Amino acid sequence: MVFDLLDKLFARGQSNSRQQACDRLKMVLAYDRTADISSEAMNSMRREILQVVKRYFELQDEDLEVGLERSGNTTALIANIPIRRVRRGDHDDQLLATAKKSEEASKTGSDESAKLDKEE
Amino acid sequence: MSTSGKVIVITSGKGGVGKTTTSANLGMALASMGKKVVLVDADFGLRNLDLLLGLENRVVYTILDTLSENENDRCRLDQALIKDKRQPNLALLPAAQTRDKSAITPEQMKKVTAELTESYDYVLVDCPAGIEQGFKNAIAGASEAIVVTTPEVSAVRDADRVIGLMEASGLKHPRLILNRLRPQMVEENNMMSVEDVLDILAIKLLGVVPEDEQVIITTNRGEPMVLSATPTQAAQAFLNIARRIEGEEVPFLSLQVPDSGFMGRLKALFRRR
Repeated sequence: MVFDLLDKLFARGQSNSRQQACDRLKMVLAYDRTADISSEAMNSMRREILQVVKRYFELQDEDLEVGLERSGNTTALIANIPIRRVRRGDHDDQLLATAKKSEEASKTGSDESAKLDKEE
Repeated sequence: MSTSGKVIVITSGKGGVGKTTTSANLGMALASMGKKVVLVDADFGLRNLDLLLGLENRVVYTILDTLSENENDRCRLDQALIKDKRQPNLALLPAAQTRDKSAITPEQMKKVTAELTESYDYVLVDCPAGIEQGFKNAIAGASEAIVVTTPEVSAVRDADRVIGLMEASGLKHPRLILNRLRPQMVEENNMMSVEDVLDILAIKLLGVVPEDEQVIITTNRGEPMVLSATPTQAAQAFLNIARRIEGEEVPFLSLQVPDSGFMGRLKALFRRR
């Protein structure tokens, strides 16, 4: 009983319910603030992400996991998309085409400078 | 031509944190500063602003009557407004006691508040608790928002929700009134402090109002506490907030704990017995 009394007299913030309140609120708000996205919005986002990824990669199947993950105070959007291989498609063809063009351009350039040298 | 008035909504999300008390006192304080103020009670079905102002016996027409489709039932806006006899700068537009919150639309609310800005400097809309139709109606015509909360977990959580919803509707930069603060409990680390709440909600602070018995007493009487000749701390806080709304820079009250430290705790021990 004496210790009880002493405890109360020399209270060193032992009843830290204030800190608990702050911590719990921060956790709950990290969830609340991102929970508002509707399932339709999530689905439409999932489909759009799928479309973009398919331009660059061939996919294992059309199964992808996209979701919000919470850890402590932070929330992250995590996507798990099994892929088969990199797609060699239009994107790569375009790169090849521009690469070829610049090769030819430098060739004609050197041809012309060779001509000029000759003429001189 | 004078600049037209501002429509400010006073909201909270959580019920019982002091929106109506705040609306009544801020309205009265601004009116006492010479501003023309109209208080709009947007809490259909559970109206209380009339009670807090002591005007409950003078309600004849409500905001719904001004919008009635039936010409015979319709009244003019000025017929529904109740002018406060103690403070002629202040008027009240009472809420309907109908339970049907869809009795008014956001567009209608916008129209009424816009019309009021032509004759009043401040149109203060007392928002109902919740985030349903009543809330959507109340924020419809507002250009500014005041969020009232207490330093308690549920109140702060709901305040955060309401801040997010308003931002999504285009009503940004709300300001905070932290109500019913108990400095003693904050000192004992049993209540969140002003800093804690500001850190969590991250909006600008408009004012802090301490817990005060006078709120109950003045409500019993229907006399907003800011009218008192000897304003208590809470009343002074409301008066300061009104000045800040007017653009004045007023230092925050120092809500000192009366007896802190060892002696304070000794006294508290004996008090508890």
